[in-house]
Amino acid sequence: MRWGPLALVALAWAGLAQAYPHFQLSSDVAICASCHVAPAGGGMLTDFGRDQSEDPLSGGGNGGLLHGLVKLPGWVRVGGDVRLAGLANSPGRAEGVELLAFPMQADLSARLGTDVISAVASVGLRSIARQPADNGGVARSTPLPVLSREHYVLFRPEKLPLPLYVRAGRFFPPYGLRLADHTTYIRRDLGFDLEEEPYGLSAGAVSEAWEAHLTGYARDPLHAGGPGELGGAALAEVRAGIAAVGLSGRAAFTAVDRRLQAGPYAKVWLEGPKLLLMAEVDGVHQRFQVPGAPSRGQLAAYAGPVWIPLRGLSVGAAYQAFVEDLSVAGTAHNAVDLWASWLPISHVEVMLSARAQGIGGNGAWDAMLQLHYFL
Amino acid sequence: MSALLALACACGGADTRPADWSYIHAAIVTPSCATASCHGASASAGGLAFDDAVETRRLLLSKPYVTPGDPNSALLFLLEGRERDRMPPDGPLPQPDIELIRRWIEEGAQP
Repeated sequence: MRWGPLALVALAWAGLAQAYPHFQLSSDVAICASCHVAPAGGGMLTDFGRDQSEDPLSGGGNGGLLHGLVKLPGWVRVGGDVRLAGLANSPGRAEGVELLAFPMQADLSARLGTDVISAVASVGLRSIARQPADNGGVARSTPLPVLSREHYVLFRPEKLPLPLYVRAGRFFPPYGLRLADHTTYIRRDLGFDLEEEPYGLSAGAVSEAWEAHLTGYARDPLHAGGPGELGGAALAEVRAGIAAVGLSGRAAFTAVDRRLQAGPYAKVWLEGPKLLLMAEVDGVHQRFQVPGAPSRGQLAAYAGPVWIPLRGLSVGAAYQAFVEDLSVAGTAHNAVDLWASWLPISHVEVMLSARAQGIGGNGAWDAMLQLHYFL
Repeated sequence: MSALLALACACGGADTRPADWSYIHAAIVTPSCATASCHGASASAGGLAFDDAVETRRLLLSKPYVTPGDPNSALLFLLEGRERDRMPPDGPLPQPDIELIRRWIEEGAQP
């Protein structure tokens, strides 16, 4: 009886540095794309985003590349993220709590071009929490230690009545709250887990009061797990004052299933108590291309407040649920998250997070310390 | 929303899903195990890729993680966290999923 191979699994908690969606509204910035190069946020920062990383989002410092020591021409933009993690993980196993320390992320990214047309690409180390071991001679290729989570061309024509864009390449279709943590149920169980960025063609518009994105995609056969997938996703968001409300949907087709999902999300910023409330609920209908197999309905949800009492300090809590099959009792995943993020100066983040899960009669918990530096 | 979620989590009835490998692979193994960073083809954690149903069953039987008819098959020990590591490592499967896999094994682990 062999145990080793199955026990050694790549595990990581963060993908490409995503936006921290609690900074929308709470920092007087309504549009994710104000601070990020990507039209729907996430990843490489704009000059304005670097300014924001100094004040009000951290304790201060210089948000420029390498703390302002390096000046690049306007058509070159460079970024990067390094995250080191310490993890205590207890999925309910005979050997007790598992303790790990590992490099969670090491990505470099670059943008070449102008505000009208540009090419963006990242390259980084594949995050491996547990080292692969011998598998008794089973012939599988060793995964490449490096990968490019994102690479795309972005076109933003000027002087149009609408602020339109077109993007083509590898990236996540805009969907829902777009949380940084890919292990949240609304990411992991809805097709936005680690390394699942598909290749797509996206078009949309982003204005102060609203934004909309439409994406057609094909799951990357070289990087993604599961059967090849074709699909489309759409997101529309409107904003007014302290609130943002959105609706997103996605259709995915593989050789073994067809999956339709959609749901609303919302954020509200309460200036007095310095609280951002955010929530997302998605319903899923999945039909299997398997003779005699029943279709199933699923539900994924996330809700919780983020308290931002001081410059650079965010404290969050959330309740999550994912019901794997609404017709079968005992298939619900429930989780409570607690986290705190401290950015003492621009570029530097210390994050502590914990999650307790109840999953259909089984329990699990984990706690993680992250040290994050961005270029 | 809390009421909606409480209702959703509390609903559901008896498990009438088929203990059929094609269904188990599509409904449980693919989303829970064959992910891009774990047992998907690109990561092949531990040298194991579970993308394809036929190949996954062959791997499980050849190691052997699954012994047809044996409710003490190693795969069940892994899924239940008995003796050593638990799979998946970031959160166990719901018990009904484990029971469905147990039924499939007990009924002969047919393709």
